[in-house]
Amino acid sequence: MRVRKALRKGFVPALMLLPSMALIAIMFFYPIVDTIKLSFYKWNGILQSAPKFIGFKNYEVLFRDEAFWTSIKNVGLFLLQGIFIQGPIAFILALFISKKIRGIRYFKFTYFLPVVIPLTAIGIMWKFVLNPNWGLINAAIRVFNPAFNVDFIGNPNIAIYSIVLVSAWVYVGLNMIIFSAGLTSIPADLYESAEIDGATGIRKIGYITLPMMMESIKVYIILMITGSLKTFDLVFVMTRGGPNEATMVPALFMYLETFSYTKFGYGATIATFILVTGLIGSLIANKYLFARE
Amino acid sequence: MKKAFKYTLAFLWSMVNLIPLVMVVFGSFKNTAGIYLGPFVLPESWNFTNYDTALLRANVLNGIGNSFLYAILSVTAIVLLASMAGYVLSRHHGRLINGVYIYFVLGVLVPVQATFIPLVATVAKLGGQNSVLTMVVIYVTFNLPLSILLITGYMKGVSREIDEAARIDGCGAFRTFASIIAPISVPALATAGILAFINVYNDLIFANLFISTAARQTVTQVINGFSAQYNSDMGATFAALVVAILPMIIVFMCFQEKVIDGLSTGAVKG
Repeated sequence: MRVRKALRKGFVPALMLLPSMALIAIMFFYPIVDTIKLSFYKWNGILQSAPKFIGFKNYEVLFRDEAFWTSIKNVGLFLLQGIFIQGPIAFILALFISKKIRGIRYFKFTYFLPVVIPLTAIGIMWKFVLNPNWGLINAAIRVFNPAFNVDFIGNPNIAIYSIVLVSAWVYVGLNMIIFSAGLTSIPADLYESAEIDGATGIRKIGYITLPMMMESIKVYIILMITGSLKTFDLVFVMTRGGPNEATMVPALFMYLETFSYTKFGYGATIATFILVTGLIGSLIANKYLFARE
Repeated sequence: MKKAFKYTLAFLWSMVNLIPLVMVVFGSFKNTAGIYLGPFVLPESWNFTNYDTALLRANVLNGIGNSFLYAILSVTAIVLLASMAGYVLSRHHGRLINGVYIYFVLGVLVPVQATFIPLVATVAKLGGQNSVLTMVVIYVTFNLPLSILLITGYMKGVSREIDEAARIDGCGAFRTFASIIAPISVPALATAGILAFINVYNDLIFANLFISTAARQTVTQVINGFSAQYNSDMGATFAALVVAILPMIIVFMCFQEKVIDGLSTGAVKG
């Protein structure tokens, strides 16, 4: 009797969870198992031809593939940029918008704007902005130095730095929001008592703001790790990984190897690598992000 | 003095964000010769030839229509499914429910890229390319985890006494959810919905994987294809960009508080 009652009580909630869980199981988690399996096969993606088991061959090729190491190096650049450029700018902007200021709606709007615009459009736009002949940046610098002419995305030595900076431009607004969420949750009386003790501007930031914001900073770092690994649209639109694969990133590398060169098994190997690296980041994320639940 | 300095810096950064966009708008009214003159020159006349080209040849409007179709259908399903799941997660305890919660957390953390190859193969096997249904199912699946977490976080803050009162009045779990908790949680549903909308509208990679016919292409596919094909006709490309970006700017203008504040409370809770 009691079992039946308990079952009936749990029946409706289970039914309400089921569609979401089923979709994610079938469309998200099951394909991942398939990807890992496929990484041990050679397959041209044609449905009629059977995949051929080749053991760890794909992984051997992967770790000797120069484009792969370039893509890893570039993920590292995205991370470094996040820590040394995007993070500080986002933090300063967060400090600014968390105070009572005039025109706050305008500032929040313009700062966040790049986040809501399709990355595809942003990529195309920045290709024009960075154009060596009539692009905005070159033209602006030529006002001071008429001989200036740099092909920011055509030159393999600097192309990745240009894309990394464009990515910073896009995501500063998002991280500003994460930081400002942390800032506004700091109780105001902490600052008041610090002022009584004689603390001023920079010291208040160093002794109160930053330590109190560790949670937001963790969220930010974890988003940086997973976000860097997932980078696709900007590079796909701006350079397709070129010139000379100088701007390759893992997600694009996987996409091109799989769908342009029809090496589905090899692509699955790259995907598995992204998955494993992402999961290591996720474990850290799990530890910090959701520890308080 | 210090204040003026702060505002100047703040204003400069807002210009860093706006100037490239303004350049696109100016460029959309220039012909190619005008664009060669440089970005600081105002358009000679405000003519709409480029918009003609973009709208007629590039079919940007068709792309926007498709993107809106995918986005509206997906968002409807996402809000419906995520609010039901969020309700259950916010109202029940125990190891099982915790496990389900972690299941959705994993959905946020696992890189989506790891699913592409089997999904493409399966969709091809079922002949599901270029179908609205395929796109909607895909978009719903991959936006569900974050939406569920956002909504669960909000519903946890809704007092349980309301549930109790409803139960005494004879409401079952679903009735309580549908006629009381969901309406109270509209702010969270809106934030989750708008974020999902932006995600779907801005997607390029899923569209590239599953859509090849022009009639079904998303706006991002259309402008990406157009800028590659007509890369000598820069004015028209600029016009296509303006038309493609405009809906998102309007959505953001209308729902700025929802997007930003919803995200920041989500970030604190998360």
